[in-house]
Amino acid sequence: MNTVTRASSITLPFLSGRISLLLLMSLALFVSLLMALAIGAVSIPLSALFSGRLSAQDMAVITSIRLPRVLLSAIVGAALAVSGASMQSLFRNPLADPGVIGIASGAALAVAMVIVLAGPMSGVLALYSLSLAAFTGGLVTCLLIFRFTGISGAFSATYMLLAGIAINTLSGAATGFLTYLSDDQQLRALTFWSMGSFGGALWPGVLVATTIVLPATYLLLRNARALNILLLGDEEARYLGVDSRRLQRRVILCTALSVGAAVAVSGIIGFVGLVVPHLIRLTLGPDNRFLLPASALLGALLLVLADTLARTLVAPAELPVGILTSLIGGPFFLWLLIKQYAGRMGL
Amino acid sequence: MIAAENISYTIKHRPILDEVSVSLRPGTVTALLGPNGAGKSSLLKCLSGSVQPSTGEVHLDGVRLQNYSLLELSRRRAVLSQSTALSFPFTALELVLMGRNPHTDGPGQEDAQDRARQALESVDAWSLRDRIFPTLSGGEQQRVQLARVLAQIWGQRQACLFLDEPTAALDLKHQHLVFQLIRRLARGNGLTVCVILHDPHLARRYCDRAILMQQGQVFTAGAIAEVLAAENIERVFEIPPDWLDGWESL
Amino acid sequence: MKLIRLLVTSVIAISWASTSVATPQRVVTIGGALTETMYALGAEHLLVGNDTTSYYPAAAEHLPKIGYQRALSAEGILSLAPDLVIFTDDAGPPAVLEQLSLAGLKLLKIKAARNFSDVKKTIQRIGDAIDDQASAGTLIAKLDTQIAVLGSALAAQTDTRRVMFVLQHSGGAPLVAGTHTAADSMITLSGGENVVSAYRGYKPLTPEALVALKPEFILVTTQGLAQTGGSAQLLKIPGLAFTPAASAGNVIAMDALLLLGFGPRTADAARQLHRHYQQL
Repeated sequence: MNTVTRASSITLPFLSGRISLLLLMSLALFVSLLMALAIGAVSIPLSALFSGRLSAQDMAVITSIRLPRVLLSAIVGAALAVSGASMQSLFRNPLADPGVIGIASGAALAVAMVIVLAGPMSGVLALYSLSLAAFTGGLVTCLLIFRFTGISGAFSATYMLLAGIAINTLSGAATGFLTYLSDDQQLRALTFWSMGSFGGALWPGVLVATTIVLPATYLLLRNARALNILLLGDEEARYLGVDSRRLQRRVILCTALSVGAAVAVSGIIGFVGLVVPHLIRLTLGPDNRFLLPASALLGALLLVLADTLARTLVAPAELPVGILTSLIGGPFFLWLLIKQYAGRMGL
Repeated sequence: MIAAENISYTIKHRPILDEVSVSLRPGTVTALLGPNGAGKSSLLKCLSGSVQPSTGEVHLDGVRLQNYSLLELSRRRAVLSQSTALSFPFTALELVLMGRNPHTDGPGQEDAQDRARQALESVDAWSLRDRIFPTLSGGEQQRVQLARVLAQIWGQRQACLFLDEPTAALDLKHQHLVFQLIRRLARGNGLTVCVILHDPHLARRYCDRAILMQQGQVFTAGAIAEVLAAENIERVFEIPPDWLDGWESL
Repeated sequence: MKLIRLLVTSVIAISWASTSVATPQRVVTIGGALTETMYALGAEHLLVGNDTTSYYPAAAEHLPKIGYQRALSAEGILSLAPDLVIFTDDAGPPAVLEQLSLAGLKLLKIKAARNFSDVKKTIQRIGDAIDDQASAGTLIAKLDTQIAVLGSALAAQTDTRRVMFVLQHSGGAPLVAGTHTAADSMITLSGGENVVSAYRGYKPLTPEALVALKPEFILVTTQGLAQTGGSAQLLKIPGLAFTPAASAGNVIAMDALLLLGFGPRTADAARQLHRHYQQL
């Protein structure tokens, strides 16, 4: 991979190459969804899946357990990846990720507060209210970070990471305090949020996630070109006709919504928003018009695969998928840091 | 045609500009000169519509700047600011094409690639088109950013161009190349150009008019030769004119 | 002729009825006490899997483990093809339990036991579920005998010992059991008195609070004690070091499942505890 030159996105063969790559990725996602449906602790042969000759219980496993779970992991994967990519444009820094800069833990803290204060709930309405809490928490932290890091005028990565550390620590402390206050029931619900998992995926969760993530993602995709311009700088973007203030507000809103919904239904799953856009940028370039949809597809694909591993590696038990993403994402993040700051003066 | 009437600009009770009135005419290159802190960048921001002056008004072709929408403004004036940093691996061509953003849904949407190419060629940077921008040298990056700004109004008549130290990082050859280009565009397309620069030699050679600022006020304005008279240089820049070898005789 | 026909049809009907409500052949138990009960009922041949809290008797360790009882996996359980899953209200997350019921699995939820009558009810319900009321009855009778022995021992005691149950996490203030905990119930059943009555559940206590409570006995699980590094280490914890229990070296350690599980060995555990108190 040449690091000095790259075919520009506007040259025609490359353009159609990218579109066909997007189609290929969609196909890969579809295939992975089918495979994930066929894999699990309960062995259901692929042939039976297609022929439709399934026992009543196998049918129930597919429709009540696997299908909502696979769909949910795809939606959450897409949500986290697109949010990460958008956030990187917003902060003009490739290290931004909903988890690293603390938005996910802010969302989780809000959920923890609701659980402890209002008690554990179930059902669609409860999930929506938890999503609302997560959205509010995510929004507040996003705005805080934005205000704090934007003070110097440039979105210094150092400030951003420091703000992320501060917020993660604060949220951890506050959640710990809530743990102390909570009784056994609430404690169980709380521990669920610290390590993301799709084990509890049910259709209401899929409904809530889809109805929030799809519109938010669509809105972000529509602003892809404007996000490119935003990378030049607030002022420069305005010179080019992009209302940077309005765009920033929109991005913050949509990412807080998406991340909030993801956290509400599956807890904290880290590094997807960091790893996926970075991989796409390395291969397809940083143009958001391709980066955003490609991130959504790759994020969905990766999380479906990760969750399939999570529920088969130690069967009949299962690993929280958040552990897997951290195991891979953590070292990747370190590598990114080293690569980016080696030889630089530092921001 | 850009006209500022009695504009003042204060930030947190600190006066930056004090009762400034200037006008920029189409087809001319106006140099904005003065020591650091004189208010040049702030004046440029007011004239280009980036900030709104605290008092007074700026008119573009007879219409108040606030009355233009962000998009309308971006279709008739382009600004090159001092910062060129970009930490994402766009190619030079992709960057220049961003300059055509204001026109994507309006008149002038076709030939985006052509205009980008011509803009890059005009600053001698066409060979850099597939290079990844962050890997370019400081001078190369500045030229590519300039190409982007030029591409924004390429081929238009009666557009405005604001440049904040466009040659700060360039070598001698490219400094002159860029200013020759600017003067050509001004004359040939009737562009209204306003440039902030520090080098009085370049200003004298390539600019028609000048505005000399001092401490937020216009010290003097007019034809370049008059503004850059020796006594003005001494008064405003606080250097003896003989430090500029043979200044008077130029 | 009519009578013979009636007899034959009734026999067929009865046998048909009993086979259609089949006794479970593949049972998964979630919760150490429930697993233990199955073994005590002699029904271990029905077991196909259990959770990580089920470690007694040793044979239970050789069955497939479906994970920690609070972090279950629906498909994991289903892969064992059980026809009955027995669990307590400690099992979770609730979404997984719902997934299991959506998958058509037969579920039996038993309230976690906190006293002898609960334990007997658990035995009874499990006996009913596996269609072996006879074994259940025998086990309950055995338990009643043990309870009676304990009862007379308690009646004979002259004073009530002050006991504190400590759950020590490595580092930080030790967690002490308050009311509405298994430890609290056990202390009371064994004739002791929980020094803590001011709060519910587990709370970390400051060293001074520990001293002020003046426990005569410190009760821990053997697993917890091993983690702490032994009695000597335990008594070095600030606060515990200055209790009457520490000066007399009165640390009682019992296996976690035996002490807190409220399974079939509950009466036996209470009796053992009581004997420890009396060794003063």
